[in-house]
Amino acid sequence: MTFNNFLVYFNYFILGYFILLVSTYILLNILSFKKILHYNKNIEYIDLENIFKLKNYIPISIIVPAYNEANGIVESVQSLLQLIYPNYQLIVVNDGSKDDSVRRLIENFNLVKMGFLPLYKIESKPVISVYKSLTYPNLIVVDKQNGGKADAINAGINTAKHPLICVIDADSVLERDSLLKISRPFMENENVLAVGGTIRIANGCKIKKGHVFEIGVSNSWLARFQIVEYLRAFLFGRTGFDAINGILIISGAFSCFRKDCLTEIGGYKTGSIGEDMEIIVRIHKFFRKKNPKAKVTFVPDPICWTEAPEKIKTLMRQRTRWQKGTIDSLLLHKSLFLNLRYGLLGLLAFPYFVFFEALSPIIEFLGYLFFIISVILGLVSYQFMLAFISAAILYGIVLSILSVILEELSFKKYPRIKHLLILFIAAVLENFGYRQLNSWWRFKGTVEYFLGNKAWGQMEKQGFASKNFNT
Amino acid sequence: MKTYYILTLSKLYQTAILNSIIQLILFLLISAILFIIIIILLRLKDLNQQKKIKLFKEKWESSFFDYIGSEKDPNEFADKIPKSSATILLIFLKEYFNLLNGKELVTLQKLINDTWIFSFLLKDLGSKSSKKIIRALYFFGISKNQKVKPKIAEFLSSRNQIIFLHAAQSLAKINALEYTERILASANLYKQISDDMIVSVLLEFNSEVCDYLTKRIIIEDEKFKVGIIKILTYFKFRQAANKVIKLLETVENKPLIIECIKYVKQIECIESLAILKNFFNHTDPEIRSEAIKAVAQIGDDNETLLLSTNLYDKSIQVQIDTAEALVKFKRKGVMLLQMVAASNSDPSAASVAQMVLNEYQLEKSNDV
Repeated sequence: MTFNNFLVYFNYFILGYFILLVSTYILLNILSFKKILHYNKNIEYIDLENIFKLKNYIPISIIVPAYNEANGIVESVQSLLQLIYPNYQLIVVNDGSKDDSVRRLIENFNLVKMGFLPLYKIESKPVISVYKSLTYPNLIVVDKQNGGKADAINAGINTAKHPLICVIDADSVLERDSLLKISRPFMENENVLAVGGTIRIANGCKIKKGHVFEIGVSNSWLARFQIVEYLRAFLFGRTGFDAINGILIISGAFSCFRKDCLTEIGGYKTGSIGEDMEIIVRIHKFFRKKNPKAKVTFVPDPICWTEAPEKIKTLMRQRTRWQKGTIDSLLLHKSLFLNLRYGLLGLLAFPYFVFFEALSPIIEFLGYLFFIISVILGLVSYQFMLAFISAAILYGIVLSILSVILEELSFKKYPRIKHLLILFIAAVLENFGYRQLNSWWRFKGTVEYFLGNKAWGQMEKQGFASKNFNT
Repeated sequence: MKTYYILTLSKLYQTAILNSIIQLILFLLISAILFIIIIILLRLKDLNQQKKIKLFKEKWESSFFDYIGSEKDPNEFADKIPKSSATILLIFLKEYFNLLNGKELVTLQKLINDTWIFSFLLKDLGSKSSKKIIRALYFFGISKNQKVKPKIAEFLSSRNQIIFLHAAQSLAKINALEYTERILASANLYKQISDDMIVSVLLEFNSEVCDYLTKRIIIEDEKFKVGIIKILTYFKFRQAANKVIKLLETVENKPLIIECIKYVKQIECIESLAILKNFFNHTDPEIRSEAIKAVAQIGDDNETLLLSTNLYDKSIQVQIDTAEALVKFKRKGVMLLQMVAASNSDPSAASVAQMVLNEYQLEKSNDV
């Protein structure tokens, strides 16, 4: 085969890849629109107050892994203690912080040391002390040696007494009724093993005492692009895959599990780069073999607000890390690929993640490269290349606009018309530079992963306590 | 030659395929732009309505408060309001229906039932707009209007599930017990109605609905049985105890068993103790847990020894629930937990007993 022939075939491959991607997204969008609008209609007719009236709930243990969060930990805990739920336990796991997180917690919450024997045998770094609050009987603080986020969650599971485990990032803010909504799928269907909630960007919102009291949009375009990106990922991606029981990732910032499911698989995998994706893939792999009806689901409504990076460098680190985490989890559980035993998860969702998430930066990069060579060699016309790139960008714009529209039709979180216009503009602008930059970071993450650099990288966060994101 | 052929063909294909993709995407883009316009217009409409409500409040709120809770004729207030402002008036009133109770609520109900608003809503009920129908159903329900029950009941056979739910809720708010059977029968016809939705409807009735629901326990399918028992539990309706116990003896459906156990626990039904104890060895850990919690609630400290066997259950969650149940028996239960915590025979049971004892002691010291 000559080089020219190879280029032609490769261009065909790129075209085919693009068509397949477009078709998959259209399918996911249709499924998501249907599912979210249906969800919204139904939730209107289910009175969440009934959970209290009828004592119809499953108790929850919330685990908050914290590392060097001294700045915001007190406000975070205060806000988590005010969640609306009839019976929950809050377990803050201090993962060997170098700051004075534990001292601040002891002083503010009247903590006393108590004896501790792990309830489960999930491995984690040694626990130094366990504290219980005399003021808030449902608050427990576990102080342990540093072992990373997964290890901290495992220590939390060993202390948890309730049947459901909810994992929340220490720097995230939950809406007060989030637990009521995220726990519903467990009550409706006993095959549900894990539930993910929606994450929204808090930059631009006014937050006081750990509560979002005014929703807004940040002044930073980088944060605005991420708002649209999160809407797309959560409202379309996850909801769409939920329709085929093909969710492979739920955000580590806000997720809920059956405790017996976590203990049976030995908890989170320590040392994993993307522990939130790895655990979900492992849950599918382990439980769907035993019970084909086992389900990981996603609820678009319970909302967790989180801080998005506003600095390019921080965002780059985050995205390369996410890419490494995706590849790592997929490689660890490659046996699911096109595996009929796992139904549509093995046939569609897993291959989607392999081709359109893990490999897409490489394919995209090679596509650009060979396209340019093809134009130079006269194999593809200049007009064709321009038309193709325009189609790709137009398609990106359509997808982003649709996600803002879906948000407005379903949840209407952004109160002002100005916000809506900003989001529509961001949905257009993000396709000119931001998306390409993202692809480059993901390409970098892929290359680094295969070259053996699997380090996490540092994340800088300002924290809600140190700054209010006023518009 | 072959290469030339491939290249020419590929260019033809490329153009054709790309043209179709661009056409599809342009179609989507135009639709998205139209959607943006529609959504912005809807937002503007919303804003406009909010402005109208604000103006309405400024103009009428003081006369409204003069009327509310008073002995005045509701027509005095209603007649002042132009009929063209009916929609805004209803939005304004809805807010107060959610806030007021007692005498104030009665005057608010009169405002709906005894003025021109009644005929306005009746007209809505006859319209083809589902929005208007739902609005009328809501107001007739919340104002407990007895006259319109048959009219509302017509909507129980609506093809629209949402209208059905509103009609059912409306009748339940009026406490129209005579329609309970029809509500349940019609609900069966809608595929997407969950037992939670039915529970939400049934909870709107007064406790008198329990008599009727008790008769239905045997007849209804298992999905609705769960809902019915939830309602009986909520109203602590003791008269259904025999039927529920019978059900508990025969049923195999897990959610139903759990609801039955919660019921006997809520009404503290001593007659159910023997059956509950049978569930201590059930294959499902959640059922074992519920049975243990119920026995701890209903029984006395003579149950301590029997309960203690579940401290060594294979499910740690059952062990935790058992230990917490034992603490309820104070001295006898605590002593038993101390023994288990100190023993080396089962490390998992010892950890659980230790944790529960720690919590108990902290709580006790806090009380002191």
